[in-house]
This record gives sequence, structure tokens and C-alpha cells, in this order.
Amino acid sequence: MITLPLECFLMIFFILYDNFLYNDLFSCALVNRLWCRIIVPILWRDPSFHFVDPRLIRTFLLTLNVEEQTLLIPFNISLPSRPKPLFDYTSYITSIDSWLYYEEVSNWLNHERHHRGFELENAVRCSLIAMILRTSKYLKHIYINELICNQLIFENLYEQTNVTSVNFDFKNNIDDDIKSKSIDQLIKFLNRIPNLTSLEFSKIGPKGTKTLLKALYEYTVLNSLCLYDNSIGIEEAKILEKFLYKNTTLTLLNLSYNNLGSEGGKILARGICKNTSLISLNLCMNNLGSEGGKALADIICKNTTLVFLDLSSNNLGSEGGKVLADAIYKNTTLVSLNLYNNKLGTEGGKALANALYKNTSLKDLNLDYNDIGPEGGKAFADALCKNITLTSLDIEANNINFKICSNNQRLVIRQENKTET
Amino acid sequence: VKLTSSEGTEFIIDRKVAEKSVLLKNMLEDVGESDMAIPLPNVTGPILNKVIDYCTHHRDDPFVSQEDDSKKVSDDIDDWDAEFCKVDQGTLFELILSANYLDIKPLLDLTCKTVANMIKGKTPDEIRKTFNITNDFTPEEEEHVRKENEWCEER
Repeated sequence: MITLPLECFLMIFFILYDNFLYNDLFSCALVNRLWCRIIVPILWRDPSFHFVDPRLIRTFLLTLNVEEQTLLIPFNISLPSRPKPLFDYTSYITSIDSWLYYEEVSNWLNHERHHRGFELENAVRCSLIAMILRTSKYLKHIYINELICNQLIFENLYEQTNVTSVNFDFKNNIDDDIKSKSIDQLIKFLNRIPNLTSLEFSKIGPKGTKTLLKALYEYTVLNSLCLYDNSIGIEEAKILEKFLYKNTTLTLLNLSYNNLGSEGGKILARGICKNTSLISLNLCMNNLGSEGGKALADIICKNTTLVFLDLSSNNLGSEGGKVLADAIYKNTTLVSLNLYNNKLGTEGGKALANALYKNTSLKDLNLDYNDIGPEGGKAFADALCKNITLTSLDIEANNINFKICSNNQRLVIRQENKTET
Repeated sequence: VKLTSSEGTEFIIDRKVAEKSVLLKNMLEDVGESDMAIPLPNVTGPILNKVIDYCTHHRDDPFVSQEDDSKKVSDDIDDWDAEFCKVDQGTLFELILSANYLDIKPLLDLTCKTVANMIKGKTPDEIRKTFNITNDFTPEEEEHVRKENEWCEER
């Protein structure tokens, strides 16, 4: 009987892995020593879905070194006493995601009948993350929040220079001094990883944001940048403008929940007009106003790479709506546009409906909460008789007092909580 | 294009069909049109026949690049492909080996998916029997591996 070479078995195991068939991979790992050696690294790549399982946390705790255990001494909890694990399981972990920050640790404490409490949970979390940072040889993605920022974490973090994706989330209130020191340390870490492709940070404050933005030039392969909720205003927009002007790798930019305003919007738009790589742009909640809307319309006219654009909750008004509609009339690349909650009114709505006669790229349009009214609704009903590209239209909460219908079988219209096709 | 299997049987196929195999495609590009048969000493006649069947059926499919790492779903096998894979295990393994040797990514994916489906739901012992593998764990080792990885099991 023929047997398959290992590379073929490896392919088969990855098919099981890609389909989340952990049960079957586990059975395979018990087949013989060779299979076990191949499968264990696959099983431990990203066990995040299984963190609710106390047995997994127990295996983790067996891997803590003295320093990491020291973090737990004040809480007097009993660590598992099984002998050292057969494999260096945690060395195969590729991602520290937000899972460890939620219920999982408390679930384990519950299971072991320890008293729960914020301090204890956080100490366990810190020791586990410090351990993974110390032992993983394949780490690619790291999520860090301010609660675990301590010296041990930073020391281990500095060694992880192969990481490509980093997410700093500072949503909790902590002492400003600690926060600013932590951000300095994190920026020092970022300077060690030139191969960063994805960076996400929120609520790190104006000083940290500026420092980070200035360092952006260093990352020559960055393709995704999410900076939501960082009070980004005019000054920061200027730094971003210069960055976007030169950068050719970024495909996703998320600046939602910032403070661009119409001035910041204009500055940013100048950078994006010249940019040739950006595919997705999110400017939700930036108070761009009708002036900012005009600048964005300029982007839609001149930029030919943008596919997804989110301008929701920006107070664009009917003026902003009209200029955007003009731009969409001409644009041939944009596929998804979100104008949720922008006070477009009847005039803005009519202009956009008009644009749909000519536009042949837009598939997904969100106009919820815009007070478009019956007259605007009528304009859409007419336009949709001609337009054949749109596949999804959200037009709830617009005071349109009749049902918009379309002959287009593929179009889904969501209107006042009713879904019609 | 002429091909000869390991026993020396000759097969004549369209160039377009042959080019489903990256190995043959590269060879043909290197030597250009030629009447010389390409020997495939690693592939037997019956298996080569099956492989040609597959490549002919899928001749117009778009080329899938090696880097395309879209998630493979083991259930998305269409009827023709499922029927194609209804062969004994020996043949299936030989198909995998040939697809690997000839570098025909979609055929390799299909046959590997079929094997993955064979593994689904089986106990370690059943898997050993299926693939003719002997268990070389000591009972202690097996217990260790089980304990340390049992979190994988759905509860």
C-alpha cells in the first residue's frame, strides 16, 4: 500500500485547520509521534476560539517562568502542578488577540474557584501575555491595552521583531503619566519592526498620536492604518497629508471618530487626491460639514483607486450632498458609499438619485437617517428603474411615505424596517 | 502534446489540457513545439488517464496561483469532482502523488480535500487503520498529548 509524503499530509491537515475541524486534528495528533509533531504546531497557531476552555489556560500556566509567576504571588493562587509539557506549545502561537482581555481569564478563575476580582484577573492576564511574548517564535499579531503595560511586558515585547500587525487600545482611563510612558515604550517597540503592515491605535491622546504619525514614514510596507478616536485635528491632518502624498502601500485608512472638521477634511483630501494605493477610507464622525464634503467630492472626482468610502455622521447637509452627487455622477471606481445620518434632505437626495442614472460602479449605498422625504423618495424610485448596478440600498428613517420598488431582481432595498427586493 | 506513462503507453492531448500542469507548461515553454513524447516515469497509465480526464473537464477554468490562500472549504466539491474522486484509496493516493509531481494545484486541492473528508469524524485508531500507520506512542506519551491538547475537543 502506498503512503503519502509528508508535504501532502501537511496540506490535508491545513484543510482541516482552515475548516476549524479541531476535533479531527486532535484525533490525528494522537495517531503517532510523527503526526503529532506535525499537528501540534498547527493546533497551537491560534487557539483563541478555545480560550473559554480552562484546560487550555492550565497548559499555559505550566509554561510560566519564575518572573511571570511572581506577578501572581500576592494573590496566593495555586498553579497547576503537572510536569512540564511535552512540547513548547506556546512557541507556535501566532497571535495575541483581544481574547485574553475578556471573559476567558475570569472563566478559568471561576472554574478553579478562585475569588474573582479585577486585580487578580489582570495579574493572570499579564503573566500569560508576558509568557507568550517571551516564548512565541512565530508571533505576527499583537493586541495590547493599557492595563497590561508593565516593564516585564515591554522587555519581552522588544524581542518580538517579526510582528507585522499591532493594535494599541487605550480606551480605559489610566493615569496620564503612565499612559504617556507606555506610549513612549510602544513607539520604541514599533521602531524595531520595519516590516509592520497593519497598525491600529485608539485613544492614545494628541501627543502620542503626533509622535506615531511622524514615525509612519519608517514603515515602508504598511497597508492598513486605523486611527479611530484619537482627536486627530488640523495639525495631525497635515502630517497625514504629507504621508499620503508619498505613500504607495497603504490600502486601508480608518480615521473615524476624530476631529477633522471641514479644514482637516480639506487638508486630508489634498493628500488623498494624489494617492494611488488607497482602496478603503473611513471618515465616519468627523464633523466634515458641507465644506469638507466638497473636498471629499474632489477626491471622488480625481482619485481612481478608492472603492469603499464611509462618510457617515458628518453633517454634510444638502449642499454637501449635491457636490458629492456630482462627483458620483462622474466616478467609475467607487463601489460602496455610506452617507448615513448626514442631513442630506430632499435636495441632496434628489441629486444623489440623479447620479444613479449615470453611475455604473456603485453597488452599495447607505442613506439611512437623512430626511430625504417623499419627493426625494420619488426621485430614487424613478432612478432605480434605470440603474442596474446597485445591489443594496439602505434608505430607512427618511420620511418617505411610500414603498420604493425596483425591477432589478438583485437589488435589496431596506426601508423603514421592511426588506423588499 | 505527446506523453508517455511509466509503462511506456503513449497519450496524445491538447496543449491547453497539458498546460493545466505547471510542470508540463514550463517544459513546453522551454522546449517549444516538438514531436518528442514527454516521459512521465512517475505516473502509471491508468492514473495518467484519470489525470487527463480531470484536466480536460477543467480545461477552461481560470488558473489558480500557488499563492492564492483563500480558505479551502472541504464541502464545496461539485458533483463531477465528487464522482471523479469515487475511486479506491490506492488510486486516490496515486492521484495525489501525480498531482503533486505534475504540479496541478486544483487537482491536488480536490484530492487532499477528499482525504480530509475521509479523516472527518474518525477516532485516532480508525485513522491509523485507514492509512496503515502503527502507533509508536508509549501509553504515557499518548496520555500526555491527550491531556495537554484536549481543549481542542468540542464539548
